[in-house]
Amino acid sequence: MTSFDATLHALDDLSKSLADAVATVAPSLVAVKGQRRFAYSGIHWQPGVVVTADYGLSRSSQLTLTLPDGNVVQADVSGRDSALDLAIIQLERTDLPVPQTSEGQDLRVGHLVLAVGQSWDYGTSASLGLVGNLGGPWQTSQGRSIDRFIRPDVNLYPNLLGGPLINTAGQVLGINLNGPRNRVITLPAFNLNRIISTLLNQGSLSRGYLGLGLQPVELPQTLQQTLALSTEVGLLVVSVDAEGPAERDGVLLGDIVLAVNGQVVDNLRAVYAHLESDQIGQPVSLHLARGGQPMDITVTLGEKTHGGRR
Amino acid sequence: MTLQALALSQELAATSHGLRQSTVLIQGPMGSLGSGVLWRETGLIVTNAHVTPQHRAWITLANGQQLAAHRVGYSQGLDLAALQIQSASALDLTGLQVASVGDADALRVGQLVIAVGNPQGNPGAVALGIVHTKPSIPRWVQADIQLAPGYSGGPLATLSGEVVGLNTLIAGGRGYAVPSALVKRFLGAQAEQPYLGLTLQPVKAAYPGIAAAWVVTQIVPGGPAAQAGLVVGDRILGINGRLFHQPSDLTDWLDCLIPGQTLTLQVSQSEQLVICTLTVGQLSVQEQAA
Repeated sequence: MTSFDATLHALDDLSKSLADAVATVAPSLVAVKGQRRFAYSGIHWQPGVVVTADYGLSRSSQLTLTLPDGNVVQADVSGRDSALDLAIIQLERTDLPVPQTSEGQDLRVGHLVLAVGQSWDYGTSASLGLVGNLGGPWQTSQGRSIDRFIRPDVNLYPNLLGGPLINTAGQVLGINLNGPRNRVITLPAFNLNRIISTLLNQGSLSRGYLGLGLQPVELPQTLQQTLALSTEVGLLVVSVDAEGPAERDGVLLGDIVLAVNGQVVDNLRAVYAHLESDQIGQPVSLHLARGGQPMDITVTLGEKTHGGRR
Repeated sequence: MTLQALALSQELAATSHGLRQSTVLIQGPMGSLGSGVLWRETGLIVTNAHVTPQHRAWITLANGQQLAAHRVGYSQGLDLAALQIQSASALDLTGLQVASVGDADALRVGQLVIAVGNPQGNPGAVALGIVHTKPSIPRWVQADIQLAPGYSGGPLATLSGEVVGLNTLIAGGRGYAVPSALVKRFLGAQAEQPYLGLTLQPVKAAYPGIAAAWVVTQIVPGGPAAQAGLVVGDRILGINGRLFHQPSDLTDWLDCLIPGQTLTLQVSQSEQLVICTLTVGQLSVQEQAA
């Protein structure tokens, strides 16, 4: 082959559509700078609301944003949830474009995706990768339920954190955040809409609160036999918050939680699944072992607006 | 593999092959290894200054020829060097291709780019990535691409094989390339040195929302700056619609000016914000032995 001939279509087309995808979402991308040394990315998600990664803000609540048109504005954090690594910022300006989103039903492992963002100094930034891992509903280590597990295989340069993951059509699949073990995880767009309305109303995501400290323990053979248990592990109550919902309804130190709402629990996440915000104020039935005897207690689920114990 | 994927894959191989024909391996007398781009048929090769710390180097061309070369141009500031193959008559261009040079200004964020080089001395290695960002100051092309030492001085190219930069740095996992326009200016040497005709000094900008400014301390009468309407005491706040974020933004600009280029300067003149349009001039060549 002596020269590059004009029949090279597939690659050129691919290259062009990648650049087009970036250009489609670029007018919604902002750079967010808090007290940390570096700036991170965010996206204008709905009129007047920017979504970003909580990590990038550190403890700052006063932020400086570079808007897609190059304007620099000051803004306050309106809501945040460190368990999800998500924060929202309200802007006075509502005229910025909002991105097209995709619920990603057609998404498959291996699809090309781009992580995009706005860099403090250089404008729109992008990184190319593919969908590395897809899964069903999952829970974060602190008990947040996410509808879908999306892990992109992409170089997430620090300035891209908090920016969106997009498909080759330029539609937003979700926001790239710090997941478990600091690996990038994409919070699906579908979840985000729900979370944002809660954060806007309340400033934080409230969650169900029992007021118990629990520790998984192996159950003695005899106890397993006398109670005819199907599980080998129970959750030992190692602390009870004073005046907490569990104390009010009679849970004692040393009780072993075996099931919640009729479902066997052998780890904390299984308990968290029953502590969603929509359960606040509802009765939660705990099946316990106390002094070797089975026992049932109904606790009215309390509310906790910030992180901390459940 | 579907037909499209097969076509894609073959095109990629063809593009890589073409680029490898204009990429050379450079070995310095002290054993340093790097890459370079065959820029002219006369045997002119461009590379990074840090690849050629000495005056002499050995070049291995893509067709296997090994030739001695010596340095004919060097800029530490731009990290660029030019090498000339010593016996041009011995140069056999069979199977080689002089780089076709493109314009980094025309790149778009997200566009696919390809790098060729000699990481760890492995000749003709290829890496694929995309344009990561397009800085408003055209000092670097930044690519989301996995480079390694040894790619230095080699080409970063579009998928139609046009060289848009010389891979120079790896920072934060990204590849930084010197844009082709700067390579051209560097090769143009003395005759094409940019000239503004003013002296500047950084000052604290005393305005809210402005991070850095440079005050004009001298103006050469009749020079490009004077023609643009700048006067002593003006504060330059930004270039091409973007305010300086830090004082070094201006020096970055000075590194990458091209004669004939037009800049719009945001200037604070007697407490008024004015826009000055400045056409970068050329330093008049002084007649003296080089």
